[in-house]
Amino acid sequence: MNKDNIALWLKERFCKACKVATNQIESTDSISSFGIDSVVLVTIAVDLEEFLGKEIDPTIFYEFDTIEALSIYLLEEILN
Amino acid sequence: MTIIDNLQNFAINSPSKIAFSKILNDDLALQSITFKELDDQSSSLSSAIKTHLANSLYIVVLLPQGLDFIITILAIFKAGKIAVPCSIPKRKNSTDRLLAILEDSGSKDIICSKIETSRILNKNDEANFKGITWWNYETLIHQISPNNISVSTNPTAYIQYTSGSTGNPKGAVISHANLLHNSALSQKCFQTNADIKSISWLPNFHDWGLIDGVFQPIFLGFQGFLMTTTQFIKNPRLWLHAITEFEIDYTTSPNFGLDFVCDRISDNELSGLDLSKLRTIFTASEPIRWNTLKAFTEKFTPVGFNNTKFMTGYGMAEATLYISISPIDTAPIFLTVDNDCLKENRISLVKNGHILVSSGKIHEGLKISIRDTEHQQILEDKQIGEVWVAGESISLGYLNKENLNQTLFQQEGEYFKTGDLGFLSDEHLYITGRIKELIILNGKNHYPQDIEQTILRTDSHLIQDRIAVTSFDDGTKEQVIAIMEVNRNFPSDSYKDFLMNIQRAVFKEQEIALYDIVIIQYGTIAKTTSGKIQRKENLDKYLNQSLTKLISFRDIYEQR
Repeated sequence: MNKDNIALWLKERFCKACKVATNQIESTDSISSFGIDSVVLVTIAVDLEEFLGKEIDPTIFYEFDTIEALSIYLLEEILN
Repeated sequence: MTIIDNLQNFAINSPSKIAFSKILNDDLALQSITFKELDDQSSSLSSAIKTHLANSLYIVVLLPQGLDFIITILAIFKAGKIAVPCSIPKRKNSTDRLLAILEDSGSKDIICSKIETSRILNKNDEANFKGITWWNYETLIHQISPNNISVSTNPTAYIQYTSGSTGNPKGAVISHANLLHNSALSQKCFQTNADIKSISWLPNFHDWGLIDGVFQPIFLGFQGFLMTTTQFIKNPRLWLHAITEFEIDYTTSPNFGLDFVCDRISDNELSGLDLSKLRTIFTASEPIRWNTLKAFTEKFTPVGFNNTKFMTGYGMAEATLYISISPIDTAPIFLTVDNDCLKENRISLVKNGHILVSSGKIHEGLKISIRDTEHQQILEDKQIGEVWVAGESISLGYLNKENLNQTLFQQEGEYFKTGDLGFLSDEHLYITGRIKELIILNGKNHYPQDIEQTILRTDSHLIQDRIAVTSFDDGTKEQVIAIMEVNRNFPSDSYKDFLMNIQRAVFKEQEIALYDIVIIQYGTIAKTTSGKIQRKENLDKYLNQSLTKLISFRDIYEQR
């Protein structure tokens, strides 16, 4: 697992939640701009838990608000 | 009489009966407590409270959903103290509301678990809690002072802080008499008794989760199953699985929970579920959407659900909880009205139009009056006005808010002005909107003032009282928008960053994704002559596209 795997997973998952094609979202876009409901963010956190095999606090999306920043955090703080 | 009498009665007469069962995991493992154990453990904690917190009156309870929370609330009642249930601040620097509640109530004591206490104090500035004592639940419960087990309840049971912005919280004072009155009223409607079983995933610190999940089982002596809101959100099927396995009779969910269950449970996952023995799902709190009830019914008909199992209602913390509830074993009652008339606050019945679901019938012991919002005269059936309620379930008022209480709680000596708009038709109450500018998202209250302050802090070109945050119903959900002016010296090439900074800040601090952010021409935002922001007027201009718009978030977003 490296940063790019995580970033790609997040990108695809966010695109699915926003119902847009994968080239519509950049890793540097703010997650706040996707217009995703807080309940949906929790479901993404649940899927992310399954993907990484680690417990994820759903509030991380509010703390690290780009896919880029989130991937780095997940790799460095959660997986290691 | 208080609810403690009910508890002691069941502890004596059915000591080994299970009062609460907490669902521990997805395999439905349970942690249970009998009525006798609940009575004993709350008595021993009560004696510790009387010994160590002898001079305190208001005690803040910061415990997760579950048995420890229930034992603590009952112990506080027994000790003659007043409970102040609060939500546990989970994030960094998120204690503003808790601090404001401590100040408003004058409470100096918090009962919290050991682990949460250290978590909260690690993530926040400990200096803010100067003069506050953090009592560990685990330590208190093991200290027994046998001389102190006599029960002497205070007339006030608890303070329910669900109203008011972060900076200005308002706590409804709920007496033991309020609690018993409202519990008896709901028992009649739901026809609940000692033989039924219920399940709740609503937060315990919130009026609905507290009355429904915690006090109803104690009031009537039945078994209440509990799961946490997080458990429900992570695995909504668990709720229905538990209903199936434990043959639950009664449960509740706000509208968003029903939508969520429909979205997240695939048709394959229906296998193994059986909702035929369930008698009631009660829904309220947000607008009750016909489409949600319909979709839920269609989805779960194959596993024994039908729409006569739905009950709908209306309530709020200021009324302890329940105000109106629809008849049991009856399909939801509705009216079809013209949508354009509805927008102008008029009711015109039509064949095809917007479906308004009844929020239930008025019940004995409570009075509902619909009043003209300007002149306060009583309105007739099918005329929209402000909903006023009176009766023994209504709180005496907010704690330490004497002036506000006179205007809100003592209209004509007895009526509480709810701030909600609605009408009566054949004794049924229909809620159509709000006068107060509260925004409800997924069952959670947000105050526009809080969001406006977050926005104001993002950029020095923004001006106090020239930001309007408001919301509208797009037919499927509530959408939040922000309309604002900027100083004349605003550099027009930096709009995009400016908008993104606002979106980011509101998302981070308020956990809301704004639907739109609009910058309008300087001097055109709707305000009263005294300079107060008019959120509703600005929203109307937004919806009929008459704002003098410079740029908006959706303009940029939709170009992508």
